[in-house]
Amino acid sequence: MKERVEEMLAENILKVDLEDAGASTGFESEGNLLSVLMWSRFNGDENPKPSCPLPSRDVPSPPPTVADQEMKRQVDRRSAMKSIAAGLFAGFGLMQTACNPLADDEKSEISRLNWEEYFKGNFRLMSEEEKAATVRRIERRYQLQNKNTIKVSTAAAQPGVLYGYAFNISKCRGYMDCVRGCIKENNQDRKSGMQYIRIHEHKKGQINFEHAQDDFFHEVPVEGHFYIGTQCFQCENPPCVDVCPVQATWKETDGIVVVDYDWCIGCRYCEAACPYDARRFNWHDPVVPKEEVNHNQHYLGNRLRKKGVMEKCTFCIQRSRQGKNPACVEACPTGARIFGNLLDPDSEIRWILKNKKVFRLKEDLGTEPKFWYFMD
Amino acid sequence: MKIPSHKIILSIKMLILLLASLIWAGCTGEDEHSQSTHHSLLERLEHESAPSPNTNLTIETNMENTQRIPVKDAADVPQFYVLERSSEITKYPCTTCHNQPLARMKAGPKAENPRAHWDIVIQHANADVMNCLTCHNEGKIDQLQLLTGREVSFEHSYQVCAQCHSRQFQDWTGGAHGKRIAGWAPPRVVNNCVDCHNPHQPAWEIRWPAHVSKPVK
Amino acid sequence: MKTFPVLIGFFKDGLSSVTHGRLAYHLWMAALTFVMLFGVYAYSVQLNEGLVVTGMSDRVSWGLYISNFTFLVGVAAAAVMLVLPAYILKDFDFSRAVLIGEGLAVAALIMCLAFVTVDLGGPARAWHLIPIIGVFNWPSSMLAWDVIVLNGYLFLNLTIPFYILFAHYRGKEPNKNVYLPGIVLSVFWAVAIHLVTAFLYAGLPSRPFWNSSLLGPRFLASAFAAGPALIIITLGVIRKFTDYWVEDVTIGKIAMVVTVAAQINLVMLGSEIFKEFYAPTHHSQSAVYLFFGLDGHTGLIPWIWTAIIMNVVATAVLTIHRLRKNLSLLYIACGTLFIAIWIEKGMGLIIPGFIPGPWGKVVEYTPTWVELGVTAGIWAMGLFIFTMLVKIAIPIEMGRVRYREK
Repeated sequence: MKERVEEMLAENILKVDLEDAGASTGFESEGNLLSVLMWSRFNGDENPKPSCPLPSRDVPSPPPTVADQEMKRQVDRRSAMKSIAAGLFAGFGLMQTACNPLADDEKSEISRLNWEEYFKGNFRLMSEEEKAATVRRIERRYQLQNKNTIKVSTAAAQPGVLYGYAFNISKCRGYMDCVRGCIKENNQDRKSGMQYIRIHEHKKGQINFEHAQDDFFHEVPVEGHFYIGTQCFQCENPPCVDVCPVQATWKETDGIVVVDYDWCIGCRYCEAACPYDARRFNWHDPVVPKEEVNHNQHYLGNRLRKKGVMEKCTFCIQRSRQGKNPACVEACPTGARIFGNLLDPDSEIRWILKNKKVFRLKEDLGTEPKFWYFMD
Repeated sequence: MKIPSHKIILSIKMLILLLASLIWAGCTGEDEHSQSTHHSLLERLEHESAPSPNTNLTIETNMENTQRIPVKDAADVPQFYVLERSSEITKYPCTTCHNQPLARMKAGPKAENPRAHWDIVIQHANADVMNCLTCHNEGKIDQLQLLTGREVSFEHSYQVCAQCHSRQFQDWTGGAHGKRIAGWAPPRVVNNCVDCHNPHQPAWEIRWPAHVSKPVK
Repeated sequence: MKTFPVLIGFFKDGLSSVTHGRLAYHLWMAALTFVMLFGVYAYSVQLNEGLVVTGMSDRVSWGLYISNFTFLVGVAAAAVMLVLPAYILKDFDFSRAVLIGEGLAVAALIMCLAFVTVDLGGPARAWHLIPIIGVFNWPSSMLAWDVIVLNGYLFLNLTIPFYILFAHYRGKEPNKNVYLPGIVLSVFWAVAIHLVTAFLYAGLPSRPFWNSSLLGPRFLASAFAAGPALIIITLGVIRKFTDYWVEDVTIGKIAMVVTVAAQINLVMLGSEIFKEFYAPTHHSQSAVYLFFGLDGHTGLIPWIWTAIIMNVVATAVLTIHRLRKNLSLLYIACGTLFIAIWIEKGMGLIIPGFIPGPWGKVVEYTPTWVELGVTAGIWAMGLFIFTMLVKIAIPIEMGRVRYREK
């Protein structure tokens, strides 16, 4: 392991100071320290925490290097009290751009967009015009803030389509290409290392997740071990949907469980209700390096999130509704991941259900995951 | 003062109301669960399936100008495709260089110079079982061959693999082995065996993962 | 007598009651204000940075806030233990304690709502929870139920005492036909708020530690021990610092309620422990973690054993008549029991429900200074509100403040 890190250091891949990473995170064991290092490297700590310069009239602030997300604002603690007071009156809508180096008219346009966005309704109940209007606002706001364009789709579910997924345990080798593909495709927060997929390294002889390793860092596959990936299983009876107090999460007719990021109030009840550890919360403002933002977005999928809302795997709704495979399926080099339409008797997923011995995880809970495991 | 009896009745009514609403809530919750009358997902699949239901979606738009070729010998499954391969091979046709029998080439003047496949080492099955000519046709080097000597084009190289790997071949035709190209929607175009496996060294490598999970606190 | 000017007089007199008092009162309120301000500061940090400044994570996604919320719902529900005997069983010993109990319920409920609000990732979007203008997932979500029952209970506990106080303020006897139905309703409602809160957890098969049919009854038992225990302490303080006298016999009766509830609570705790440890399964992992630690993680062990020892000792003291009759011992026992149940329902119930996570991973939870600050601030706010309510109610009940027409 050590040699590998030294090698990477030599190649100037690792740009993090060894001692700093160790000290700041407090990981003592070698394995963990290396994991932190590797994790930092892969997750772009070259761009450390974005900082917004204090507003100063003389020095023009450079444009933010990090594209964040809607509703982003960074205020130092001293001005926090002011923010709260202002927020109470302005409904948190007007002060989002407190330290954005933008022209006044652009600032006021962003404020107006934020204001309108704040009072919009639940996506599921929106008319087509309302959907178009909110997409326009989101795209325009990104344009103003980042001088770049995104395309946000609101493509609806196709009739006759119900998505299903199969995972071949014999094939998965723990390469983690799926995780990497997923993070990039779905604009996941790089700062916290959020990932929808976890690959669990099991010792042969049992399938016991308690004893499996899901933060391994070594060459794979390891002798005597096998690998199982988990993510959102898009349950047919999703317990997370039942518990949401504001219907901010629901199951689409093509079977994908989605979250309306602008309707979610961040109570995290769904996270407690999910038996599969599928949901992820934005504990802080998510960070995606500007140049890595995926511009092909879906309202219910990979569009940029803000802090305080829940997100999850959507089988890459922005891709799957175009007939493409989710990014994890596409990225997997071993073909362990198979995706398709459950309502099509000719689909690969149906062939697997019919011809392979399949199982699902925690089937006894009655959640009916649309995610099956099988072996060669 | 005695409690008036209508107060007691009122309180009982309240309790019943509360219980009734709880029960009703439970029932409606169940309804929302299934959304349809099916008891299980599999029943739903049985009832709602339709042949080629997703006619609106297609991967044609995702496929660039690649040519697809129907797969042969897959009788039990609907027609599917592999990509045209010959044009993708860098030095095809092979006869450009292999214009004389291999033994003569090895002995000839070119033997001294770097050769195109100088690095090929066969690590595929036992040396007693396989050599170059198990798959390559010495007489017609632009083609592959089966054990029986029947010629097979590079497009249909899966037929060569299927001779030994019949179980994998069956899974591949069904969709449990291999990878789709361009998406899940029809038409079904898949990778050929050799798109993923190096036929000379088919074993997968041991390597570092592409991503490292943030360590669990 | 017109109602409106009386109402204005009521609030004016209330304000003057609140703003006048002894030095100790002012110091007390100033101290609470200071803690509240610190809480506001801590919350401002949380608003700015996000919930990342708390100890919570994707694995332990609820922490100190929701623990306190759960506990305080119980405290609020416990007001019924005074209301029921006083108004329905006509045990007039209780009637002087009732207003105190309802005041406590109001304070506890406001704290509950505050704890839920500070736990939200997007408090600015909390309007999505308001029926009609928002989208309310009722009846499917137990949290939606909780919002309804908590606000309903708050409404009942504000209006009933207000009606009675207001009548007394006007020098009249309140009309029983007006407030009695409300009180009958609030009795059921009190049980409902705590059961609904228990169902919020018990309805999650993903968390086997909570997914127990005993959770609801256990919540009720612990609430009916902790709530009245707090009321006893409060009555002791009120007796000491004001001229509002509550008889020993009343306190004795409430102590009896506390005792029985604490005993039932212990029996239920015992049966839970038996079930988890006699034949431990995969589903007992949370309990193993809580009581003995798991994979070298031992964060909750000191908490739960402290709680259990305090719980057993306090229940033993309460059970022995001679000890319970000794008022100073009673206060200490009640305080001990209150703290024990607070730990048991927070660090001993909410947190271990998340540990280990769905895939068996142990991630521990420790509250941060922000969480502690916000929590302290909300408790201070609750005490502040409660003190104000008592300060308004007592002079009216004592007949010292009455409406005077000018």
